[in-house]
Amino acid sequence: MIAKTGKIRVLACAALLPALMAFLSGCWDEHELNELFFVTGIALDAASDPDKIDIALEIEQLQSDKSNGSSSTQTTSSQGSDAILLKAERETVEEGIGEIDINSTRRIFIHHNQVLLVGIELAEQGLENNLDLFTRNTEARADVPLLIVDGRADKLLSIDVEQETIAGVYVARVSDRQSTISEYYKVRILDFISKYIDGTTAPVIPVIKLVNKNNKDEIEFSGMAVFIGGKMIGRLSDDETLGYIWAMGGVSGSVVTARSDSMTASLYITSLNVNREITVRQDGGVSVKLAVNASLEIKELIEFDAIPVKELIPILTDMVQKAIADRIINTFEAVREMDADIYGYGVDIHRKYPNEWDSGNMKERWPELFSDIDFKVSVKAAIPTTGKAIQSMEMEEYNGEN
Amino acid sequence: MLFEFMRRALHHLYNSRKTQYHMAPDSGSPDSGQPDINSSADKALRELKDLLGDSSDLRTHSFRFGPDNACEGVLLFYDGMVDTKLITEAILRPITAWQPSKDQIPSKKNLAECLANEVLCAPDITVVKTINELGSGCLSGDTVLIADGCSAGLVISTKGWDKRSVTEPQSETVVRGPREGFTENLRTNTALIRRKIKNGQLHAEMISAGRKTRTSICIMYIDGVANPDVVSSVKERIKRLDVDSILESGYIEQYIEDAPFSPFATVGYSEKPDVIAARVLEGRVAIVVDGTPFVLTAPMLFIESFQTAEDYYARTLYASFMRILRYMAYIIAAFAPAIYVALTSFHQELIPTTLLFTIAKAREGTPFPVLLEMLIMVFSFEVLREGGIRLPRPVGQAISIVGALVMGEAAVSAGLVGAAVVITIAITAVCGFLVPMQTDSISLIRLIMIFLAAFAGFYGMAMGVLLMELHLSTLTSFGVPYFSGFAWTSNLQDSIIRMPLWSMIKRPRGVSKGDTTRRRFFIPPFRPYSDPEGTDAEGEDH
Repeated sequence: MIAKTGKIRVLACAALLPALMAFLSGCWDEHELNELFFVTGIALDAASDPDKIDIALEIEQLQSDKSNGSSSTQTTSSQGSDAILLKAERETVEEGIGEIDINSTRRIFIHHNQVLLVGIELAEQGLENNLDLFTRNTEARADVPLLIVDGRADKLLSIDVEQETIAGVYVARVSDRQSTISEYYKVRILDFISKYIDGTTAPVIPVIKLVNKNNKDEIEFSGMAVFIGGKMIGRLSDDETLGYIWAMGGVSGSVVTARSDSMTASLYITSLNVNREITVRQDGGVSVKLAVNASLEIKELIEFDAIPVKELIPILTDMVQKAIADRIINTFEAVREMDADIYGYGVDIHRKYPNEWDSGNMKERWPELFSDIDFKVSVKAAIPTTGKAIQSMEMEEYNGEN
Repeated sequence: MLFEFMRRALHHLYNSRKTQYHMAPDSGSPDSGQPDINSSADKALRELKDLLGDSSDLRTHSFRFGPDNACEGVLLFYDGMVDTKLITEAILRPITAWQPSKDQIPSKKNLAECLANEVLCAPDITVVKTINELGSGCLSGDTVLIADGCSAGLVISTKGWDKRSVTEPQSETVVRGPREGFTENLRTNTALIRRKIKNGQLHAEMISAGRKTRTSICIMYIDGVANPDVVSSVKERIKRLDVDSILESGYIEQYIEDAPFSPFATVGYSEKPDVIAARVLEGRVAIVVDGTPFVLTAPMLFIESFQTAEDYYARTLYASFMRILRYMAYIIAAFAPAIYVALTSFHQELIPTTLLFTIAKAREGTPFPVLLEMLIMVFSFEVLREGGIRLPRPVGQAISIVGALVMGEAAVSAGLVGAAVVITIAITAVCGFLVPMQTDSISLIRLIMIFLAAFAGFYGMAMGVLLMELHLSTLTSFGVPYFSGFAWTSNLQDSIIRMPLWSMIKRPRGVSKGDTTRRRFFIPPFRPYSDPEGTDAEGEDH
């Protein structure tokens, strides 16, 4: 009898378990792969109506027959590309995605989004209201690269690129390649937001533009956009961007071109690290000292024939040190004019001098303090190798003495 | 009170029915009744024939022998079960040549004993007093001799039927290791084990079971190493078998196992004497059943499924690598299809983008949901596997070609199933073969997991794995926990990895009892260049 009751109990449990699971689980979340539209890129642009924004989703075209995709407003299927572009014009990003979703044959799935592109016009109007979705929505990933497009962002998503089949993937991969040189080259949505909420740091976002080379669309990185309070207030040129990257340290990859008289030397940075010392002076001002430690490799020497081989390394070292320091200082001067602390020195001071920061009202006074920073850079470059050749053509012969 | 009374009454009824069933007479069995042997050879022969049912293969041979051919005798045997040459050489030739001097002629009463002790040349002769014993001897392939005027008979061992010779087992082939396998003959099998363990403590106890088949079963264990509780439990369970017939050790396995409805086997088996010997040496009990080359061992632990004979013949590192591979293969075989279903129907975000696009492109145009697609493939695979095993070898190959073409090529190109599903099933199938002892359980778990995954994704699978773990950890085999292999530190030496043989000092804990030490000390292999006293090292210092 007891055994029987036990058996009934087990059977009842076994019958109840699946029933309970139906209530507990997320089985309504079940979607077959062929019921989904995988978003590979999102573009946000300023719309003609100032209260609205243009939202464009790039979708990987999986089915061979491209007639499946449709949208309320417009469908652009770029020739040769495996992607389709669905667009909507709404007041918020979520509304736009929702509109595209209900007007499509499949559910919009943005987990696999590769990149978020923002048109420069919208960036100038302000980004802060359009990024909330990407931190809040469980489907959207905040670790995708964020890029400003010099022009319309949706235009960039509909290009027919040669190197990849999907424009979103192409842009994301190029951005990834750059981040191997320095992590500061790649700005993710998350990075932008965390810098934005620092209060004192001015976030920067790489700018890309569409170029047409030999009748082929390509993208080109062209500096960085500087933001204050979520609005784009200025741009760094390519050289200034490099100055910013070097000032932040952790670089392994870019090329320094040092010039002196007619001599030009190209050196490859194998590693560049920065030790920054930030102090609040007695008079209340702020001093920043950057100690740059770089290790370089000679790649190319032009017009160096007048230099004896044994003097080459000291001369080159001086040239390179000067080139690096100049570029870092130039960038700093440029952002000083914008009152934009793109480096996050304010955060460093807050961490180092928490009491002074609060009592001295430094947060409010930060733009003023930043513009008065005493900025010094010392560069120590090491060129341990001359590359494969010891001397260049026409260079004075090396006699083995040093 | 009333309910208690009813419960007792029902219980009583149930028990008495069971007792009646147990005591049901079996007319065909020679054990029913114990009549003595009649001193008249004719009468005794008739009684014996009545008992055995006068079948056509029961042969009798009457002859006269002794001084002046004064004695009369009858030989009785089943044709085909005896060695006729042996009958001639060991019985007929000496008995007809027997001409004792007059003072040595025994009385007819003592004739049987005299023949057994002085005349016959067979090594195993038993003097029996009852007809039933004669019948049993006859049925087990011995020759029965009845002498007229003597109330005792002789059972002379002349077993000699056609049997398969010792060959390499089909189901457990090895690259390195002994190639001999058990046969269908019980005695050959016990001898194969005894040849591996030449020790007087290796006990072999005979039990016969099956009312109709009277199958001989031999329980073998090493006294002092095997856990006595397990030994007595095995014996008791086999003795309590109330079964008509036993044709294979699988019958016994199902009657004595701890959890008949579990997908996991709790009685081990092998076709190889070295494997059985190793298990017996670890303290397990071997159950050798006549008529099958599969020898059972108990208790069985979960870990046993992942241990193969070659693990111990190969060197440690490689053996450990193979062991880990087998565990991984088990996990893949049981869970890969379910993981695929869960990933593609619930957790698309977890698939790397490029892979997702590849899978999604393959899924485009396939008409069925992923669950159905997976079930079709699992079902086709099981069908083809079953077909491949049952069919004769040449046809089996044809089936596998059709299977490979239909499953691998046609189904995908016709757009019925996605290529990724075919790949998943192919990997699953291959991995399943790495753990042959668990193939049955893998097939069942795989199916359950696919349903759970299709129903609730990884959540469902987690629930399934949890239930599976609960079940496995409550499972026992003859009182030994099924997961005992992972329970003790000393057992871990031979679990996920296989430590060097010289480091395994103890027999598996939980399985053996008494003499649990394999080797007395932890001694690494002796290296000729090493000096135990360290004089070499000192010399180098100088």
